[in-house]
Amino acid sequence: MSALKDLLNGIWKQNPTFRIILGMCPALAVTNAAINGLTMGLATLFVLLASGLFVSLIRNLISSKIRIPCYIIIIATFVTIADYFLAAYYPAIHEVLGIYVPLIVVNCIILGRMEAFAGKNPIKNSLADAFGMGLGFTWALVLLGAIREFLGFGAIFGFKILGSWYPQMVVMRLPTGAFITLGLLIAMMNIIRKQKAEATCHAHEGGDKPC
Amino acid sequence: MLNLFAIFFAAVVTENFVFYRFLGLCPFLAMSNKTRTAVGMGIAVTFVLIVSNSITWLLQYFVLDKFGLPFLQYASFILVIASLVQFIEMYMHKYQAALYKAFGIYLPLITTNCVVLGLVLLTILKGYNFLEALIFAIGTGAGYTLALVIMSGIRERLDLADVPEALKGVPLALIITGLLALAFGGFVGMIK
Amino acid sequence: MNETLKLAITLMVISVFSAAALAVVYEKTYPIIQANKVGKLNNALKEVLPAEHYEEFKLDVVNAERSFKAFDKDDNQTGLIVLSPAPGFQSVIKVLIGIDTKTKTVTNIKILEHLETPGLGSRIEEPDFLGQFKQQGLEKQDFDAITGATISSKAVIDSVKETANEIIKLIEEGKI
Repeated sequence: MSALKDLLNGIWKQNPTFRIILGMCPALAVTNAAINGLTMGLATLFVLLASGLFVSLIRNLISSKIRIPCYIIIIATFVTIADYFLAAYYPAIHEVLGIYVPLIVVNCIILGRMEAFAGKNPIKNSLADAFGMGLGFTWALVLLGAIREFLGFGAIFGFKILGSWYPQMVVMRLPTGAFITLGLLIAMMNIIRKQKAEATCHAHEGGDKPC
Repeated sequence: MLNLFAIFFAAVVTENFVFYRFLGLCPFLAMSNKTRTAVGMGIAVTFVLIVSNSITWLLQYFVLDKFGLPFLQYASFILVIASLVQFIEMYMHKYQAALYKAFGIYLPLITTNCVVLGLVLLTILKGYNFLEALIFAIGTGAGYTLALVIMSGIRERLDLADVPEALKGVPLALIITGLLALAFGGFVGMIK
Repeated sequence: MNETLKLAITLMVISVFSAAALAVVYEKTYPIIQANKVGKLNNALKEVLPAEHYEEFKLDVVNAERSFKAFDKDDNQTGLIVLSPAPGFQSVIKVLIGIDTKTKTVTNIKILEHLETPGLGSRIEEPDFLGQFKQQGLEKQDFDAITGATISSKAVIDSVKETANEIIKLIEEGKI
């Protein structure tokens, strides 16, 4: 089923953080702990779905020349609505999400997917793509956050794993740790991807010819 | 006066938008390959920063606040930035064709560059007055250009080095950015 | 020209829809958000300096955005609470500072509002950090910042020190 394929696409093959490399700004900023990464990921997933739905709905009504400003307005509108809605009815959650909201507005993943997918595809596929990208973004952030939290605080999701003997690597909580961790993770993903490709290639070619 | 200097210095060095606030990373990694394009991008972004910050400041305090329309902040700010970039695009297309070509897709992408939106929102969040906002914008542009130029200098040299396949491109750029962030991080707490 | 006009109209239509949607949501949620804010402030006042009732007044001190007098049940003033804005890393941190007029000490502080970095700057809300200010008077001027959240924590410390010092001095001079 095509929609399923679109969904799975965002989780590994075209993972927004490790592969397409979009939306790094908020990704790096809030992944000092796993829970923050999870929160950011889910919030972004939510906005991706809503924006994807709207953009896909009106995709045939907008001329290609001004599609970007239109997408941006739609995204900004929806983020603002979500912000006010939470502030009024779920103030506790709103406090937790605090700074994430404006960060979602500047997240290029959302605009990127509107431009690359939702603007050209039917609603069902657009929603699937949005969902997949959102999930892909979320697990990438949780992984990033978990690594940084583990090395920086000796904990994961708040559970202290390393005892007090561990001299916490403060640098992991700071920007440096974020950049280096993401760089190494992308490199690792590249290696994994290459090995997978070589394995499949060898399986097809019979193992002799170079891939 | 000292306060303005502190704002400028912080924006360039101690709280650099790229190395400390994680803003503007996508174009930063994409346009920092060659020093020439890096400088061009830096100048273009600086110009957009200064003009849009001034306009959005006026917009916030003389329109949004005055008429009680805080809910239009994100949408209106983004529209200001988008329109400004559109004008710059048209100008460059006509009068600076070579540079326009070099920029390619990254000129219109300044619209979605989180540095710009981040700056205009941050200016309001921090409650700066107009002069402070202006200095903040100039400093941010200078800091961004500085980051781009440093990065491009390093990457131009790395072009000649033997980099492992997996690290080529973005991964290595990120690691370098991390080390630069570490260096810049040494300046934290310098002011006040 | 015709095409530009069409583009402009499309953009305008979308903008109008957007503005309309936002206006409607704002109208509905604004009163609720304000009520939430008031409730939050009242709870915070009680946390910072428990009292029978509070009265807002105007205090002409540079860092006092809002000031409240605290009264016990016999209507004696026991202290005052000041809302002080502290310029943080990426937002203005609103700090609530409670001061006991009799003992001339800071009773407690609470972070009312902030938009600092989650996991780093947001640690200014941790009890370990805030507890430093409990029951402190003019003698204590050294406070510990938070590693990895230098700017946010220093902003709070500086703001509390400045405001508390000034107010305690005014109390000693009998001006409050």
